[in-house]
Amino acid sequence: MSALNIATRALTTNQAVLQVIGHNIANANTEGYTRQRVELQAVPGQQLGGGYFGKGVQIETVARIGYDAFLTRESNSTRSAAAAEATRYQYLQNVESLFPLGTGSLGTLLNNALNAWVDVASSPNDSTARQVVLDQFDALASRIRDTFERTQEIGASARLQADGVAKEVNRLAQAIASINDAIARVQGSGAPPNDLLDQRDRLIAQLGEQVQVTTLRADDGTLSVFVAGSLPLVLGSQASQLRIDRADLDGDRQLQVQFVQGSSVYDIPEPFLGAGKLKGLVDFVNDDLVQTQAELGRLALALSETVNRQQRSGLNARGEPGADLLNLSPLTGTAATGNAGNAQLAMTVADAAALKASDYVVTYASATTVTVQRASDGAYFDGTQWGTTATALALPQTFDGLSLAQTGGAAVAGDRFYLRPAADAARSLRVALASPAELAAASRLSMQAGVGNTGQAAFQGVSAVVDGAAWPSPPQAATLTFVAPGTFNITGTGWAPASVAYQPGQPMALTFTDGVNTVQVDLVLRGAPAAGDTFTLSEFPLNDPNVVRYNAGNAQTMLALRDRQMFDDSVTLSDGYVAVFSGLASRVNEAKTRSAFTQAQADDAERRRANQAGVNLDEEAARLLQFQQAYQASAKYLQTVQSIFDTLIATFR
Amino acid sequence: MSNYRVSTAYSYDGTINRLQQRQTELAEQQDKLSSGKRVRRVSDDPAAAALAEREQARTQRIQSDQRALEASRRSLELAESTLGTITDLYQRAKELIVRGGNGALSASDRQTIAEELDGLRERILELANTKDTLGRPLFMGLGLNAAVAGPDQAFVEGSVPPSGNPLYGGDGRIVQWKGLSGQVAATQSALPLGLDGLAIFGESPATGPDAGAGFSSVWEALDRAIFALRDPAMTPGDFRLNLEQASVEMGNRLDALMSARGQLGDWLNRADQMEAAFQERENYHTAQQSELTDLDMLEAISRFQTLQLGYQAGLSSYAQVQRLSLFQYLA
Repeated sequence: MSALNIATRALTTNQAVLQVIGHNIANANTEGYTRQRVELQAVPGQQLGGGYFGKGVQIETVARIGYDAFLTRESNSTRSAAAAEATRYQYLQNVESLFPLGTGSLGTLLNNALNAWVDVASSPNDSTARQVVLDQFDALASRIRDTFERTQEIGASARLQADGVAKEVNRLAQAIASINDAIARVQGSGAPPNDLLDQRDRLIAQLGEQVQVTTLRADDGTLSVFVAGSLPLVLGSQASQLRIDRADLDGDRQLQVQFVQGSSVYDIPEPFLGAGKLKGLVDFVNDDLVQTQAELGRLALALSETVNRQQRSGLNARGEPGADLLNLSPLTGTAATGNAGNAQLAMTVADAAALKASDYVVTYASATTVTVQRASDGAYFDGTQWGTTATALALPQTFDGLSLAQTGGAAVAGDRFYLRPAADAARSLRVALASPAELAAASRLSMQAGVGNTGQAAFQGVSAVVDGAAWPSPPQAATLTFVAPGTFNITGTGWAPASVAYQPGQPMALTFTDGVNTVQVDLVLRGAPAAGDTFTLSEFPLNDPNVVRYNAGNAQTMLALRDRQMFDDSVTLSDGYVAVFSGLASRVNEAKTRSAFTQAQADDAERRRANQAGVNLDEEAARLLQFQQAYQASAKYLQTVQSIFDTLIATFR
Repeated sequence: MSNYRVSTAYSYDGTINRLQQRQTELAEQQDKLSSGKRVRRVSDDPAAAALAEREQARTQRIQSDQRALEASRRSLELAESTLGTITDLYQRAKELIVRGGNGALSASDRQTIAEELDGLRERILELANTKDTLGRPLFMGLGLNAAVAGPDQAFVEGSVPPSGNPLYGGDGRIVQWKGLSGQVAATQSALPLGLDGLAIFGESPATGPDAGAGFSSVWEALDRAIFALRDPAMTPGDFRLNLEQASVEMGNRLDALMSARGQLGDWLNRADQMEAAFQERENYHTAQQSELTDLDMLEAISRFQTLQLGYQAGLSSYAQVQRLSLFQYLA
């Protein structure tokens, strides 16, 4: 009987092995499938007289082969990092396409606008040339606005995707929780539920692509999943949720990821997210996009401030003082949603050349003092410079070319404000003038050589720009008197310096100050003066079109703005586009490199994992042959046993 | 666990991935070839892109400088031809003054000469007020002086009460300077649009008897001659003195005119040089921009062929390897 048992057991066992091989072959292309193998065991023998007699073969278990927790974890975490970088890179590429090169670039429009003043300078009485200036500035302003709006749209789609990612994370967490439940229930049977384990591993890999997770295995076979280091997304058979909300500060642009467990909600700080698509999206929306908009907006802010100042320093074709050429919405601070006070903050540009491409966070340390933190590098302002420690300062303050003041309301300690002057400028930049006559091409200052001068010195030109908000109408003309051929004195209230060394053909700097407003005057004389020669610098009479008809002094000064050092102490206004895109370019380039690098790492980790755990069809074919033969041998053995029995029975016939 | 193990599914996936990667590279290279650009986006090469944008800005600047230069050149050429005409008129006036001094002339002969000089005076004033194509006085200097009444021109004819001074200025006619004295200098990239007429034609004093050596204009010189020729009561001594003085003044004015023409000739020469220099610089910046962003076709094509070869090799090896399977040998 024992021989018959051995034979049938061998038959069924080998059949079972063949079944598992079939299962492997069937799942050769199933993602996340780990090959299985039947572990065989000899049935312990029985002592019968002379020795132990084996009782055949039996199945010990069906085990997953090649499953390596370490390789799996490495594959998951590298894939998570790759997903973050790939997502960020993909969005940055979208943004990059908004900043083309060559003839279609923002730089071309900028230079077209600035160079258009050349024709006004050549022919200030030509209204066509003036119209071209307005048109070119309009084209530039609308391109800046349009580029800003497009970046906003890209940000909006990234926010939508982040919402989708959060939903996917919640779905996966729920699925992992139910598989945990199923695994815990069969845990008692002793045999590993291989396919459930594979399924759970696959869900965790998918979850890792969305957001970086860490896992911890419990005794009951369940796997707990944590996000952001220690927040339990799945605990046994219980799943929590992630949620995307508007950030407290700058909420119409920035995102806040929240962890929701029952009725409690925690904000997850951005650096804690680790990796995964969600990290890539949050980084893009909260950092890359905000920074790009600040870089674009700085150009708008600096350009409008510089050009408007020069406009105010000239006279238009009707002889009136020039009005602003470009218009921005007022620069105000955005209050955090949780502010208890109702203070209002407003900014003005104090020095266009000192502007930084950054936003700022203002926090009230008390009802009257604030700390100012720069968003781009996290540095704090201490009243004179930037450092690492927060200093409470009383408003108003001037930093990075901006003057910040509280314009109303009362603050409560802890109130926070977000300042984004550059982005607001890019959003709202418009041409304010409607008529070509309103361009201030004419200079406001007139020069006259004194009657009776005996020297040969003559005026060559004068340019003036107002430093403050308004032109402080010099009430008194300045009289320049040469006390010697090499020196002249300046007399006139508000004029400085009192004495100037004469440099023929070179601009000599004078200033006129009236209260808070200062006019910087550059004067050029040439030729040899004689002692006693006088020159007067006075203002043209206002509202007389005849005075300004052929005067292009201010247009010339406007042209000189092209070469003004404007951005980061090194980039001129006409090269301003370089300052806009160079930051973005290095970010895209960096994202590209990191994306390629992390993808290679992920591929490598996945290759190592898959090559261990995946099905090899040749191997299965070999094992198929092996166990087919074993099955055939078992059948042959059964036949032999049967024929032994037959022989035995035949002897009794 | 073995290190020599390949998962069939992964080997397929991996190969497909790699083939796709190659195909992407090939398509990328093809795109570069068809656009002819090495730097199509800023991230392709941020440094080259920044430099190329700068070159683009320079090119645009040169184009605008060229427009300004053309405007200046038109004005300067007009000024030069105007001053050429005026030179002829000066010469003729000098001739007439010399002829007028001939003691054998009758009063009516002198009257005829005075008439012709008067005509020359009118024409010189008209030419000194020449306007460019946009209606701007060519000889106004730095602008127009609002304090002087009169139309928008560099020199305005007016009258003052006749002084009765028999020597000079007795006619009461006066030509006033309405421009702003001063001369814009030529720079490396720009030329002035007009000239300081005061330096060329001189100025009459605004009021009072026209006296003083520093204040004589070409019109005052002519007035002096005309006044003398028309006044039969003038003593021969005064008559000779006036004509001599007028002749000397005309000589001075002619010198000023010639030096202005010399200056103009120099500027027009410089305009030609500047234009050539602009052209050269524009070519240079365009070449630089092209060097920074354009593709080296030879290198690109050879790289394209390498990529193509690699892709072909990948495809054919994939086709061969995927035929190998133990199952093929199981009957």
